[in-house]
Amino acid sequence: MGPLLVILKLAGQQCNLDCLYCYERRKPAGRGHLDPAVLQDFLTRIEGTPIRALLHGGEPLLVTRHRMSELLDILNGYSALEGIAIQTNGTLLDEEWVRLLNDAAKDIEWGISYDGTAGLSEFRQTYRGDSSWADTARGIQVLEDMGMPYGLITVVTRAHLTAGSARRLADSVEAFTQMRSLKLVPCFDGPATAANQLRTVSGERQRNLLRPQANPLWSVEPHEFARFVDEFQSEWLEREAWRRYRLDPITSLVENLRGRRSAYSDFNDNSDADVVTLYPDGTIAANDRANEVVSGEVSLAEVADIRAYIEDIRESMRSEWLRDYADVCSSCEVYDGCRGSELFTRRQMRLSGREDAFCDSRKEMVGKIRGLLDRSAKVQAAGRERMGQ
Amino acid sequence: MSSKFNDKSFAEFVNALDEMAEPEGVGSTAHTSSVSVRDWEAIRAASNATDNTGRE
Repeated sequence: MGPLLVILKLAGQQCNLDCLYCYERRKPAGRGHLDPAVLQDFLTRIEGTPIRALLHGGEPLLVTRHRMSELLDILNGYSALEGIAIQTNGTLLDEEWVRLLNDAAKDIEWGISYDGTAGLSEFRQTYRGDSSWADTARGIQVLEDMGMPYGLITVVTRAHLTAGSARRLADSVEAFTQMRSLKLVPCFDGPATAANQLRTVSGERQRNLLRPQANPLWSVEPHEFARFVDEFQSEWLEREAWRRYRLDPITSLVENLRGRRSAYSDFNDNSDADVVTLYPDGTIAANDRANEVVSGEVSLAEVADIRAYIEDIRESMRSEWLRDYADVCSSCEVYDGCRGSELFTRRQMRLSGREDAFCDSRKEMVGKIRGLLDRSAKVQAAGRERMGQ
Repeated sequence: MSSKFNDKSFAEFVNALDEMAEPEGVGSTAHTSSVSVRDWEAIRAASNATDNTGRE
């Protein structure tokens, strides 16, 4: 088992953007930024447990630079810290932020949420309903100019389903020379998606795209995600972009099928059990996903032993997996590549009646990679023959 | 671009991945892109030595 991933909700659910699909924005409203004393209390009570800290939100750069420095000092003082990462929308990034984080968090790993240019980012919006991609691209350029490696997450929505979208996304990251990874993540929001309560253009737009007893108009079906992944993967191979950045889920599938073990929770046996989230109000939870599927949220003040709480959550997730999903997966012909996905996702798909569609899409993705692996073995064999080996 | 080219590109990718050391217990979830950033340095370094496409 690796280190515990501690997701720190520095600014709670607060964000300078109001993306239609954001699960954080649908949680019950919480105020405030993470208090250094709350973080210190949490760390003191898990002392000795190896952790990786993820600075997350809402938007983590909404906290003041002074507060960020205090929080990083506390993290650096933790005896079993194995690394710090940040996931930001990039719109507030400037040289001063990059320097502060690089100086205070040695080897910090940068992650930016980026859905692509123009229409591809249709659902990543400001409160006024404007697209935010240009501001994110400007933040990425700051990292580029400072020579900082970073990874991107792209949430695949209905905006990515128009013809040529995979090519447009691949084109848009061509100039990102410091990018090391691109993770394509599906937006599988279902009929139970909660309405945004804000009286803003963005809130009204979100509510207008919700449909009773159907998926919101920004979400994608599992087979649509699989198709987009396949199209993007072709672009990635055609451009030999693998020489420059990792692509998921493709790389995870190859790792699993080649007998390596993907560390990505969506393609890993361990699922999402090694995650704990800390909110500004002192609430902790196993993962930080949508409030439609809450997982064991509890106030720090009510927990006598945080490590015991985490172990209880892990045990409960293991039990749920064994009870509800293990049988289906153990007899599945693509388990060696798929590894069952995250418990959260499986639960979400089952509750919304999309489990079969989800499993079919995973079979399709694994099948395509198996086909590529078979053909690449033939390419290699032909190469050896030509070399007279 | 032909699928043959993509097959060759994929075969080279798999070779490079096979030669890369496995990350040590580092996890990544659907909402973190950053934790796999360092994985790719070895592949990038090897590619810079062999790639004559002028990239990077």
